This record gives sequence, C-alpha cells and structure tokens, in this order.
Amino acid sequence: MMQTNPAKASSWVFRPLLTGKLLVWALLAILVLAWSGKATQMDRALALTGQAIGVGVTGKGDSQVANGFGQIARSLWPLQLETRTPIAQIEHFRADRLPPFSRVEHRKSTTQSHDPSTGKYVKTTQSASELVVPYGYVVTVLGKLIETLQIALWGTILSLLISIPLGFFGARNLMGDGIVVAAARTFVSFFRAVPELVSALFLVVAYGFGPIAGVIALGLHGAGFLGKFFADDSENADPKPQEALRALGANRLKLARYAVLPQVMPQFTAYTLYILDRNIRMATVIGLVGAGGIGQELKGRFDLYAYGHVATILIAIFLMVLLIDQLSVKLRRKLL
Amino acid sequence: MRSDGGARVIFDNLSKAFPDGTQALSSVSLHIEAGTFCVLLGPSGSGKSTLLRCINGLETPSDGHIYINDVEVLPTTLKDLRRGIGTVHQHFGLVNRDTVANNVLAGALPETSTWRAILGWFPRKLQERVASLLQSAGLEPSQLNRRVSELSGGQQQRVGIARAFMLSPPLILADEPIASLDPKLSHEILSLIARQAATVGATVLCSLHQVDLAKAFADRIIALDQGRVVFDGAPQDLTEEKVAQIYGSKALEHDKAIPS
Repeated sequence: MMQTNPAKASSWVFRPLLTGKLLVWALLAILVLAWSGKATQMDRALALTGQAIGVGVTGKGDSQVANGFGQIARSLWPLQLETRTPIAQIEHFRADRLPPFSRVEHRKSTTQSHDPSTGKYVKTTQSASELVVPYGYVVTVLGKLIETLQIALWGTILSLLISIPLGFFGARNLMGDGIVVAAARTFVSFFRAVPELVSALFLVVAYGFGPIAGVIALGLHGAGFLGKFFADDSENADPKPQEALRALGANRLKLARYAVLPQVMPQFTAYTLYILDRNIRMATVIGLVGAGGIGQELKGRFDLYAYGHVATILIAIFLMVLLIDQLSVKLRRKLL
Repeated sequence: MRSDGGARVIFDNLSKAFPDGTQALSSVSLHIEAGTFCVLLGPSGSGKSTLLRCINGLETPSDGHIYINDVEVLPTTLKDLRRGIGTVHQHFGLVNRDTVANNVLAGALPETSTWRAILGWFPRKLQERVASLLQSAGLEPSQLNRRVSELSGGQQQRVGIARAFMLSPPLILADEPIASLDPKLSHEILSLIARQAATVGATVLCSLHQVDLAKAFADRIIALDQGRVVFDGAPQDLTEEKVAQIYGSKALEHDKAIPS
C-alpha cells in the first residue's frame, strides 16, 4: 500500500510546539500564580527563610524564624523518658517488688506559707517518696502508639464494611444508570468531603473523648475514598466476562462476585493498604481533638507546656511512621 | 441435569436497528430444527453477532419475535430461557485472573443459590461436572486451579466451552468461537463443540468466517449480508459462486492477496 500513496512525506504537517492558545494559557497561569502568591505571602516566606539561613550560616544578626526554631529546640530538650509517681498514690505499693531498673527516691520539699494567725511566713518541710521508673514514659508512649495503630486498623475495617456495599451500588456496570447509583455516589462524595479532623470534632462531642470517635471518623472518611475507588474500578473492569455471565443468567451479586471481583482484587487490595497507611498517620492527628491515641497524649502534654514529653512523643511517631512505611512496602510486594 | 434433546429456534420477521441508524437485521425469518449444527456465514457487519445476541437477550430486537421451543424471548421469560442457553464467546469472556475451576463453575451460577455462590461453596456434584467437562475438553488436572491467563488461547476457549456446557443446555450459541485461533486449533475447537453438543443433542448456532470449516461441520449453512438472509441450505449446496456472492468479489480478492 505504501508505494501507492500519492502524497509526499514533506507535505505531512506536524503540530507546532508553541501555539497562540498555549501562550494565552501560560500568561493566565502566571497571573493567577502572582495573585495567589501575594495572598499566601510567599514573598515574605522567602525573605524570612533567607534571613534565617543567613543568620545560621554567618552566626551574626537576628532572625525571627531562627529564634523561633531555637526556642523550640531548647524547650524540647531533654527528652522525658522517666515517670515519677508519689508512692502515696500507688495502691498496694510494695518496696520489695519494684518494676525492673526502678528506684524509690525520697525528696524533701520545703514550702513557704503565710500563717494568718501569727502573721508570719512559716516554712514547712515535707518528705515525699516517689517511685521512679527510668523508662516509664516510653512505656506509656508505646501503649498509646499501639492504641493509635488499633484505631487505624478498626477505622480501615469500618471503611471496608461501609464502602463494599456503597461501591457495589455505585457501580453503573452492576446497577445500571439510575437513582441507586446516584444516591450511592452522593453518599460516597459526602464522606470524602468531610475531613476526618472535622468529623472527629463532632464525634468527640457525641461519643466522648477516646478511640470510638477516632475509629468512626477514620472509617467514614476512608469509606468515602474506598467507595469511589471500588465503584470506579468495577466500571473499568473488562466487560467481556460480565457479558458472558449476564448471558448465562447470573444475577447482579453473582456477577459482582465472579465477573468483577476477581478482576479488581489487586486494585482493591492496593487501595485498602493505602487507606490503612493513611489512617495510621491520620490517627495521630485526630487524637489532637481528643479522639484517642498518641495524638491525644501529645495535645495534653503540649497544653501543659511539657515539651520534654512532647519531644519523646514526636520521636516515637516519627519512628513508627518510618517502620510502617518499610512494612507496607514489604506487604505490598507480597500481596500484589 | 436437563432432559436430553435440543431446542427448536424460530425467528419471525426479526429486525434490529441500532440508535446510530445501522440496520443490523432486516426481516429475518428462520426455522431451526432441534439438534441441528447450524453455521452462520457472512462478512463482518452482516448481522451474525446481532442475530445471536438477540437470542440470549444481550440485544433487544426492534421488531419481530424469537421463539425457543415455543417460548418467546421476552424480558419476562429471559431469566428462565438463559438457563437453557450456553454461549461460547469470540474473546472467550473468561476472567483471566480467576482460576479455571471458578470460570467453569460460573456456568452453573443460575442453578446455585446466591449465598452459596458468594461463598464459593459449590456442591460436590457440580465440581465433578467441571472435572468431567474439562477432562473431555483435553485439559490436565493440574490446570484446574491455575489462572486462566496462564493457559494458551486454545486452552482458554476449551475452558469457555466447558462453562457453556455446565448445565447441559439444549441450545448453544457460539459467536466466532475460533476467530483468534490457528487453523489446526480451530478444527479441534469446533470438533469439541460438536462433540459436546451431540452428547445432549443440543442445537448449535455458530457464526464463522471460514467457509471450509463451515462446510465440514454444519448440517445447515445460513449466510447473511447487510442483515438479510442471502443463503440458506445444506453445505453441499454452497458453491464457489455462492460464496463469492456472499462475500462480494472484492472481499475475496482481498483475502487472496493477504493470506491469513
């Protein structure tokens, strides 16, 4: 066929790299960026950061940002690792059965108080015994981390339970193009539109402080993502096996189970793992509004200006996220 | 599972026009006797697929009626009728990621309760049926739990045929079942369909592009062109001239120029 083509190769015209339309769009983009950059004070951010780097390098001058970071660093150190508990507060305390590596410290504390009958200041000396566990706070933080992981796990389970039926009802290839699909997709969009931090605020009011609010907040938001992914994947699945089973007389549920699910299982697994990964990180954040876990501990210590505790928590979160990242890479390789 | 014997299929003045204006079928009237191996010939776009798809309700005719053993194909009767129709697809219609076993078991879904199906808990009797169908299709026991994607094209179509025969249907529809297979495999696959159909005396409606294979397997050949029946008769009556008429002289030259 090639030799019969009458057109010369030189007469083929390729699309030019730069067109007038592209230039107009580029100009528009620059205008929007200039305007929004001003609104978000990007110029000031650049100036302040530059100043801070200058102070850091030369050691001279004064910078607001550098001072701020310095203050944070100073207050975070030293890390709080131990716990001190007054023995009077411990029920059934037994001096011969201390936790490993722990000790009892006796402290004399002097307090000055004003005696109104004599009109003089009186010094009273109190002796208090404290149980000091050198790693006590680390154990507390670990416990909170485990609680955080459990919140993330149950949040993921909840979002799976909600999103599987929503994904089924939201898939046009299974449900046709009608009111059911529209309703399911609206629910899913709503769940996705409400950030977990916002829903956690309300859920804490309803369920009280603690993990329940966290699990539900993560579960609803995750369902918003998974429901959409499940429905979209189902619609993108190869239609040929679906038609084959429809011709056989299989109903919708059987179709979903035998023609769609085996096809989309790898994507479903990947999305669920992603939501689990995301929930672990988000579970720490929603704790800040009282929805349980390490975040709640962090917020409590931060409000008490206990920055040594805060530092321990931050390092623990950092290590956890690092570890989870490594694990999820391995898990992904195994499952997919 | 089903009483032996094939289904009688009657097309009464069947027409199908697609929304884009294509007239896929115009006034097709045919009477297909039970137990016939009937091959549909015709160029691409002649309406062969549409005719087959109207039978199992994948397309709705614009006009006319289809009767399977005197039961008209209607949305209300379709559910029951589909249990008696086995379909073999051009692109096999299998789930590539799923196992051979599950793909064939899917053929028994209409006879399985939804909860059993979702749990994947099929009765022993159905499992034995799968095994015997795969065995007669020439698959190895070791391939039962393999993914379909690990099989060759010919083996995949054997799985598709096993699925179609799961419930021993009285009617088999095969829409270009060998379109993507080489000549030797094509012959084997058609033999398999003919052999399986013969065990229950099922009627077969099979669309093909290969005239020689049509002649070798068919009891009756029906040729379509632009939605009309242009030939209907015994294989020996299909002469070279008739073939040239069906496909048009140009198409024939084209086929000779590029050997397939």
